[in-house]
Formats: sequence, C-alpha cells, structure tokens
Amino acid sequence: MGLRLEGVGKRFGPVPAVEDLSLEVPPGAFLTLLGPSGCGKSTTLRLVAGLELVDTGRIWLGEREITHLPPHQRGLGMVFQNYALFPHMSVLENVAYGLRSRGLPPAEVGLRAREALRRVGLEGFENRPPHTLSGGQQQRVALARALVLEPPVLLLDEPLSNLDAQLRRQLRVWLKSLQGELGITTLYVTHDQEEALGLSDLVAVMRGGRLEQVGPPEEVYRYPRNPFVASFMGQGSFLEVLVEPGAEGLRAQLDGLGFPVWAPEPFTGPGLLFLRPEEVVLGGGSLPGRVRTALFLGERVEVYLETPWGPLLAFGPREPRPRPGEAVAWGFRGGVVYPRGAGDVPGPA
Amino acid sequence: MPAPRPLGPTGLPWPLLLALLAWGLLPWERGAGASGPASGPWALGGGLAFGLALALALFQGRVPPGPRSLGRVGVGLLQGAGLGLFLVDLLTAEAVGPGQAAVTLLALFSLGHWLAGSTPTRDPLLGGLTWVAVALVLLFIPYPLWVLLRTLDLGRIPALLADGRFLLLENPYTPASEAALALAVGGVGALVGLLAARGRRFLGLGVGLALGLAVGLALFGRGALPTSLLVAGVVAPLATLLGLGFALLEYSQAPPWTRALLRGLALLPLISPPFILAFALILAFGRNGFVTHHLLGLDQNLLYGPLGVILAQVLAFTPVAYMVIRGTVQNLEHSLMEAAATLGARPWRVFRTVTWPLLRPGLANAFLLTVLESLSDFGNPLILGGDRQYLATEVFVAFTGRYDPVEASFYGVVLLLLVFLVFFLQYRWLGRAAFITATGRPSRGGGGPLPPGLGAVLAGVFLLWAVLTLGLYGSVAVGSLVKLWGFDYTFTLRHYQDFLVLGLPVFLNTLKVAFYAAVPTALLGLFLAYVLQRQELPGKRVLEAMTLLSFAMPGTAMGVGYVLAFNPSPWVLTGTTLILVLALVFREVPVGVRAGVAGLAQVDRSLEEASATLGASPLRTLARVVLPLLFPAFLAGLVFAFVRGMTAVSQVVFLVGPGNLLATVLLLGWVEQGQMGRAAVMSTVMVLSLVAATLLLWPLNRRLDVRLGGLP
Repeated sequence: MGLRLEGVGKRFGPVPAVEDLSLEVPPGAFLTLLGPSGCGKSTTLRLVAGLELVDTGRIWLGEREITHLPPHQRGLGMVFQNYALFPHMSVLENVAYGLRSRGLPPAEVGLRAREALRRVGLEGFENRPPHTLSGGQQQRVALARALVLEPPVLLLDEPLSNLDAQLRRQLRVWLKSLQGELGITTLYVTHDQEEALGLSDLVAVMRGGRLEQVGPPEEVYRYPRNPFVASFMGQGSFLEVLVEPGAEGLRAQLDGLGFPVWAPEPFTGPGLLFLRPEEVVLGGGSLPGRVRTALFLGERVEVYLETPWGPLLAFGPREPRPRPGEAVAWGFRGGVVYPRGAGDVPGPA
Repeated sequence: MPAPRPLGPTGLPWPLLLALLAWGLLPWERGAGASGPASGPWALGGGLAFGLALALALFQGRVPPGPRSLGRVGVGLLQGAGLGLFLVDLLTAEAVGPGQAAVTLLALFSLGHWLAGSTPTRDPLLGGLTWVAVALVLLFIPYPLWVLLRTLDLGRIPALLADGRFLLLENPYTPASEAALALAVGGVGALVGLLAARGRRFLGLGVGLALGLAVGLALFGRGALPTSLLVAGVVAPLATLLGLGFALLEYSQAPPWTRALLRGLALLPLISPPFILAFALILAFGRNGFVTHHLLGLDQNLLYGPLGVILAQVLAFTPVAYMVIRGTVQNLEHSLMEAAATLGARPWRVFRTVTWPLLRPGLANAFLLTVLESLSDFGNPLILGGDRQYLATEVFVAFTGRYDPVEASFYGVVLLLLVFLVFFLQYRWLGRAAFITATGRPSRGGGGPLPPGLGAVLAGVFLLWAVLTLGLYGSVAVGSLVKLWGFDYTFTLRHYQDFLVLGLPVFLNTLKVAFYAAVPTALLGLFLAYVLQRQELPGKRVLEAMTLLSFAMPGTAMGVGYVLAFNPSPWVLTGTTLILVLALVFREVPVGVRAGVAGLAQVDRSLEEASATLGASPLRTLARVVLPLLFPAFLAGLVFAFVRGMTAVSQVVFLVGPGNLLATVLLLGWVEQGQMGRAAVMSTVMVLSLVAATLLLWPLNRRLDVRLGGLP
C-alpha cells in the first residue's frame, strides 16, 4: 500500500519542525528520509506513525486518510532507534505483543510469533530476556515484532545507528533483501548518506523541515539540485569559477579553458563548480594544483589539493603516494555548477 | 476500520448533560434530615447514573456495533455501576451527599472525556481520569490553604503582632526585659558596625544595629517568631555540616562497616516519628535523666528550651541533609578531581577549588530543606519547648487551647510566608544553575579520597553521633522495660500489659489508616507522575508546584486549613477516618509523585510509542507496559507513604476525633503527661514495626535512597 503526505506541517512551540511537506511513497518502494540532525526527518516519521499530530496537511495510507487516527489505530509497523523492546517481556512475548493486542487466539499468536522469529533467524531465543541479546539481535527482534502484524507500511527510525560499523554493513544487506522479499512499503530515516544510497529506491533529502530533493539515489547523487544536497550526499569540493554559455550547454572557465558542465537551472556569471573526487583525474589534465596532504585509507588514497579556485579533494594512486608540496596537474569530467551567492555556500569538503 | 476522528473536542458532551441532569435531581447533603432523601434508592440511582456514564464514556465510538460490543458495554456498565455504588456508599457513610459527590466526579470525568479529543493520545478515559485527579489535588491542597488565608482577620493583625507570644514575651515575672536586652545587643552591634566601617559610618551603623537587634531578638525574645528563627538558624547549618561530613565519609575510603552503620543509622530517624528523639533526650538528659541525674548527679533543667529543641532537631534532621547531599556527592565526577590533581593541585586545593563548588548546590538544598523541617517541626518543640513559644506549636495551641481560629491562621500564615521566603531564596541561589557534571561517560562517583586529617575528624564526629543516636533509641527500648524511669530501674512488663489495653487499639487503627492512605497515595502519585511526564496538559507546571506545595507546607498550617475547610457543612469531616486518610494522602502524594517520576525516567518513552504502533490502546499501554515497569516505583511509593502515614503528627493532630485516635498523637500526649513507660512501649513498637516495613524494601534499597534524597 502506498503512503502519501500532502502539505504536512508541524510546529513545536514557535519552532517549525516540518513545513509544507508533500511526499509520496509508491507501493512496495523503499524511501529514505535523509538529512542532518534536526532537519525534521524523524518528526516526519513520527507524524506518519501518529506519535505526533500534524498541525496542517493530510496523510493518506492508500485510499484511506489517517491524518487524525491515533497511532494504535493506524496499523503501521515501526522500528525505533533504540529498538524499544519491552524489558519485562521475553523475546517471544515482545513479538506476540501486537498480536495479543489485536485479540487473536493464543494458539495463533504463538504460531505467528515463532514464525516471525524464524524469519529473522532468531529461533531458540524465544524465552530470553531482550537485554541478554546483542544489539544486532535486538534489532532483529524489533523488526520481527513490527513485521509479524503484516503492516501495510514499515517505518524505520535510524535502526542501524546504534550498531558498530561492521554489523551495520551486514544488517544493511540483510534488511534490503528482506524488504525486497516482502515487498513492503518502507519509510526509512537516517543521517547516513551511504545507508540511504545503498538501501533506497527513492531518497528524500531534508533540511530545516523542508524537502530539498526527492529522487532515485543515482539521480540525487549525480544531479544534486543545490549545493546543500551536493555536499550532504557523498564527498566533493566547491571551486569558484566563471560560468559562460557554450555550444552545447554551459561551460566553466578554468585557466582559460572551458569545461562542459551541468546546472539544475542554467545561468551565467560567477558560479560554484561542484566536483566529486572520482570525477577529478590527477595527472590527466593541465590545471595547476599543489598537494596539501594525502591520506591512505586502504582501498583508496584521498589527496587534498590547493588550486587557484579553492581546495580540492581527489582520489590518487597508491603508488607513488603524492607528497605534500608536490605540484600536480589535474583535469576533470562531469561537474555541476550553481550560481554563486545564491543560497548557502557550504565550506569546502 | 473506524472513521477518522476530527481534531478537537469530540461531538456533544453528553455525559456532561447527563451530569447536569443528575445535579438537579440528586440530594446535596448527607443524612436523612438534609435537603432531599439521601440514602437508598437515591444512592443506587446516583451510582447507576455514574456507572452508565462511565460505561458509555469508555466505549463511545470505539466498538463497532454487534453482539460482542453489546457484551462489552454491559461489562463496562456493571463495572461502572459497581464503582459508582462503592463511591456513593463510601461517601454517604460518613460525609458528602451522594448527589454532590457522584455528580461532581461525573461532570469532571465527562469534561475530561470531552476535552481529551484534542490531546495526542486522544483517549477519553485517560482524559477523564486526569481531570478527576486535578480536581482532587485542587480541592485538598490549595483549597484548605485558601480557607486558612481567608480566615485571617486583617483588623486583628496589629494586635497579634504586638502579642507577647509572637515577638517578646514581656511579663512582670521575667528577670529582665527582653526588649531591653535585645536593644542592648542592638546597641553593641551598632557600635561594632560604626567602628568596623571606617569610611561609610551610617551604613556601618545601620547594618550593625539591624544585625545586633536581630541577634538580640533571637537570643532573648521568647516569642514564637524569634525562637523559631533562632532554632532554625542553628539547626540548619549544623545539620547541613554534619550531613556533608557523613556523605563525604561514606564516599571516601572509609571501612565498609562505617558505610553500613551510616546508612542504617541515617534511616532510623527518617522512618520514626521525629519527636521520639525529644522523648529519648528527656530520658537521657532531662531533670531525672539517666546521664545527667543518675550518672552525673546534676539537678538541672537546661534541656527544656531552645537548647533541647536544637539538639533533638539536629539529631532528627541530619539524616535528611545527609540524604540530599549524598545524592550530590554520588554524582561528583571523580575524574574532575583527578584532572585537578594532574594539573598540580594539592588535596586541599582540589577540595577547595573543585569539590566544594560542585557540592554547593546540594548543600544549599540541604540547608533550605532543614530550615523548612525545623520551622515546621511540631513534636519536638511541643515536648521540649520550655518557656518559649514556637510558630508551629502556637498554631496548634491557639486553635485547640485558646479556641481562636483567627490567631491560629495568623501563625499559620506567618509560617507559610517563611516557607515561601525559603523557596524564594532557593530560587535566587540555585535558580536553574545547578551544576551537572557534563562529561561523556559516567565514571565512578563520589569525590575520591579526602584530604588528610579531614577523614579522621569526620570519622570521629560520626562515631560520636552514632553512639548518641544508638544510645537514645536504646534508652527508649530500655525505658519500656523498667518500672519508673529516673527512680526505679527494675525490670517489668507492666507497661506492655498496659499497652495491650490502652495502646494497641490505637496502634492498630493507625496501621489501618496508614494503609488506607498508602494505596491511593502511591496510585495517585504514579498517575500524577504519568500525567506530568507524559501528557500534554495546560497548566502542568502549576499542578506540579501544587503537589510539591503540600509537602513543603508546615503540617500544622495545613491541619488548621483542613479543619477550617472541611469541618463546616456540607463536609463535616473532622474526626472521621475519611479526613485522616485524605489528609495523609494529599500530604504524602509528592512522595508518590517523586517515586513515579523517578520510575518513569527509567521507562523510555519509545516503549509506550512502540506499544501504540503495535496497536495497543493507551489504556492497554498503561496496563501492559507502563505499570509493570513502574512496579518497583509503586512499591517504594507505597512503603514510604505507609511509613510517613504512620509517623505523621503535625497535621493529623487537628483531625483526630474520639474513637479515632492515631498512635503519634497518643504518644505525644503520653510524653506530655509524663507517662514515660507507656510512651516508651509505644515508641518501641512503632520503631520496630516501621523498620520491619522498610526492610520489606531491602531489595529496592538503592531506589529507596534516591527517593529520599530526591525529596524537595
């Protein structure tokens, strides 16, 4: 079942947490709300769950409006950042809780709860108290508890943020495949852009309670609509350049040369050129630069350059490792430009 | 699928209409002679109406029509009618007219039910219960105080201020004029001020004179105000200092037995009636005291007067200060002291520059709390007061001795003003600037080792205090087993035989009343804590302040307020069990609230939210998730409400009636009459039973300390 938000707004006192937000999650899709802390993504999720009441706007679940329903009548599954497992119940009782609330016969409750635990790979843990489980296992119990009710929509509030990096990677893969198997509409909240890119069918970037851009991860990554989205999704550097019209689209002026670039809204004049490090080619051009420092990070080396247009991040060769002070010539392909002075200018990456 | 409910009040407030209808039909006052037939069919009618409203409120619009929903409504109806009948029965038995009670509660409930449509949980039942709880708090906490204020006759204030009992007890028999002595001290102060302040003479003169007069008044004025201030002014710093010492001792590297002894001994005065110490002091140091008369052969009367009261209060209230400061010491970040040490500070310098500033808020809290306790203390001054007056006892004496409600309310209001002054000072000193040691990961608390020398001194002081406390409690136990204390120390069980006849019924009645009060205290406390912590409610802060108010109010002032408010028709509650229970419930409800708030702080809000998203209704969430997790807090609140109900005296002394006596009041009477043997038996039995009740909580010991330490 699909989920639709129409002009949703919420204030806490004088502070707007979410402003005029419209969003649609198609049936079966995995949509991630992404943004820095305080951007309103968690509030949006809580509004959908009914844990907060909207001030303005409406929320639809399929064809049914749920704007004013209390949370226990919405029938959505939710997984909390801290898992929120009931500490006074066993793992099985936790999973059975929602079924019991619905008044199902005990035999069916037991059957379905065990099946849900099997599905998340936690057979044999039925009678354990939740706190004796590891973080990843607790997370899977929380997921089983939400999924056992077969909710039309699954809400996940930063479910992986309390796990260590290794486990987070594993669970990410597992979560993605489980969601694909079940085909359940999913709304996911995170501040981790890597998680958002990897998991989602659609990414919605938020800032200050507003939606900045919605689209498939590749699109948002390749064609960020503004400098904020560009800098929040992945790494990159902003160079101060002059933009002028070219034969086919716009061109950025660097060192007397014109490079073809893309802009969300065409313009000419002073601009910011956003370059992802993988778009920068070290030694593959004629633009001047000097190595400030280079960090060896295992699978790649990050090279920080000083250029006449500002600091620049690039990926370099492992051997020979670029040395500080060394002069390097560089070039690039791709790149997005934004008008300078319009909107926030983020600092260099 | 239920239809979406619009935001805001839901539909017509029909229970309110029903309530208004019942309002007009049902009788207002109790008893057959009152306006309208009171009992029988009317009670049944009221109960059924209440039950019907409750049942409908419970299930309105929540159950799809069908045979099953009919069954549920039926069950709800039965439950509601049962509850309604019980309430009506309870109230007709002793007090308020059934119509009044039922209708008021119903009206409130339905109002809450109606308004609940705009709260996030939008649960009618929770909303209704909230409003009933709010109404009860309003009725039994600020209303009596308001009546107290209203009773005060402004025209009589000048006369009351000039009265000897208030300021200076001048009479022809006093050896020297108190006013003259106070003036003399004031003169000395002025002289010192003049000499000390070289530059600004007038300022020095003024300040010196004012200070001198104040000191002179406190020292020589035997009226209630100077005496109470003198006692509080000596007790608070002493108790705070001792409490600090003991707290530091506990968290330093003291031997483990010190710790056990400290916690056990600190608990004893906290859970026994505070004036038992006054009584024990008489046994040990009175005119025929074992130590002063028997061992030292002295014939003196020094104990009766401020000295004795101060001694008793320091012993009784040091544990209070200790418990408060202990919380602060516990939260000291040990790494801060270590950081100071690595920066090159010597132990004393670490203490002065790091430990002390971090302790200051806790100390200020303890100081103000002991000031409050000392001002409000009723039993110790009554027993040991001697030839001086005290504010708290004067409220009682004016009311029951001189039959002067206006004078009683005057002293009550003076006490209230002092209490508000203390709160104002607390706000000014502490404000919101209480320190929180904000570091990432909590390390082990407690300040670490003490500077050399300090540890030994503290251990010595503590040992002295421990011996004194143990000796005093011990002398009470021994006193219950000897013929006539001070004259004939032969063993006897006669006092216990007397106790079986005279004391036991009262003791059992006290147990009953304390237990009746404990359950609603803990329940109401939990519920209010839940409302304060988890619900959106306009005026929440005011509600919170009010529940705390009842705890801080001097018991005698509150007691007079209760009599003035609830004795007139239609209440006529004085002397009934109901008013005793109500007084205790609303006096101790802050304990329950504190317990509930502390318990709820352990229950993450997301647990309730998880329950809601899993389809559980708010009430189910409350029953299945919140209450089970709060059970330890509930138990702690229950036991403490019970203990405090058993030991309460200042408020209930106004409310007891013939045939409805309480143990503390009887004990106080026996001590005053010099029935030392009987009093000793009663004290021993009370202390032992209270220790037993508290021991039930031993598994919850940690929480218990937190509760006590966290009281305002």
